[in-house]
Amino acid sequence: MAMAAVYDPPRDPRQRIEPYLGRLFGYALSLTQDREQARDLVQDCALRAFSAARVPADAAAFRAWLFRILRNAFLDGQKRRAVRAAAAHDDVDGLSDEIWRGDDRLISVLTVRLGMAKLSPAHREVIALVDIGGFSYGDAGDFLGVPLGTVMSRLSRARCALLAVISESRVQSLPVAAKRASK
Amino acid sequence: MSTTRPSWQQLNAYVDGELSASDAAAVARALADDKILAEVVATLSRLKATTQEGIEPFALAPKRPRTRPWRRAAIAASVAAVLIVAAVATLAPWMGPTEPPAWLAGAWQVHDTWAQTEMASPPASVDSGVVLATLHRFGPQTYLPDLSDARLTLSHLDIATMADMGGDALHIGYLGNRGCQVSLVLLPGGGGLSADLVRYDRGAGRGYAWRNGKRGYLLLAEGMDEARLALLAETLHRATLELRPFDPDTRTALRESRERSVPCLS
Repeated sequence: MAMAAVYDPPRDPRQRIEPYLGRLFGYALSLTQDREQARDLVQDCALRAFSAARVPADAAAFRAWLFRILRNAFLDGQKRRAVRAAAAHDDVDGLSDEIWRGDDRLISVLTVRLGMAKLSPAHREVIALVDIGGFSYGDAGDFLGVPLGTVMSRLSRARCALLAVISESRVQSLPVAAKRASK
Repeated sequence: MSTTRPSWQQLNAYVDGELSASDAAAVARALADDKILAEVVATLSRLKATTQEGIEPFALAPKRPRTRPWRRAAIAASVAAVLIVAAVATLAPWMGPTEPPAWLAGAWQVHDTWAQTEMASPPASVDSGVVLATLHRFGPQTYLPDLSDARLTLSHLDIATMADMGGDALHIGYLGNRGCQVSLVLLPGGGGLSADLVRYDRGAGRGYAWRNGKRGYLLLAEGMDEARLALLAETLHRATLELRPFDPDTRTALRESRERSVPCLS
């Protein structure tokens, strides 16, 4: 993503990061699935952000910059190849583009949280970026280094998988499979 | 978009506000004509809203209060308690702050230079090739303690020339993920130290020094939780005498000490 890395006038960096902390923690949790590790990641992210000499001034670029710091910190402790291989695998999984229907009554903060834990890392991450981080499809694509269409398909599959996990056996396919419409 | 039924992907994009105005209008028309599609969109909207609802508030670790007298007194009391326990447990002789050796200022300068450089650039792990090259130059018997149980990562290794030292020293830098920076300096000539663990203070900085045979050791950190640093010093003092990996109890103590400690982040 093209980020305008410009010098930010001196001000309390904590004040600038604070609005994003909850979203960063949600994203960190989606990556690690471990609350203690997620806390450490956010702390680590804040520390790196505080010590940065150049900080994006634009709000959207600043958010993406923070999330990237956190993601890099996470990947530093991971086997990058394994993560990328998992992401690639998720894009060609067997889920179709059928419309799935879940039971609304089963959707709650708790079931979503538990359901997210059962998703693949790539599915968790794309939901976290769009729904928790507030990224647009385009920004998420830039962030992940994939085309917008990949974000669109990955996200729709991720939500389908999440609904399936939440609803377990109660999820059922609609009687008529959707036809792909041309845009 | 054609008048055919919207796809699952398009319904998701509709909920996310990612469709163009014309495509969004087409989906809205389809929803008006299809009750099941409308229910699906409602489900997706609820799923998205619930995911956002689950965002938890998060607060960074508090800044380290360095200037409050009552806090210093509390820290001093806790450090004293830790030191008494550690001394009884290990029977290690303990000495309080004493007259610093002449080379100590040079060691602090090495620590300060590294710490400022690390803060100015993203932390990086030490390449194994650098480790081997440094050890080859400094000596095969060099002890590089693994402090990962204390959540401190080896991030820097170099040969440092210190004023009043009369020779090169090995400087090992460890980084925590809450802002802590710890230096371990190995002094090949022993640095005139004794086998006892001795503490040297420099403002908010704490130095612990000891000697084992012909090698001296110096542990330096600034603004670090005092009880945590004291435990690290005790642990390293013992480990450099025994030259063995930390036992399970020690590893647990290091982890718990880190959990209890005030972050260095400020």
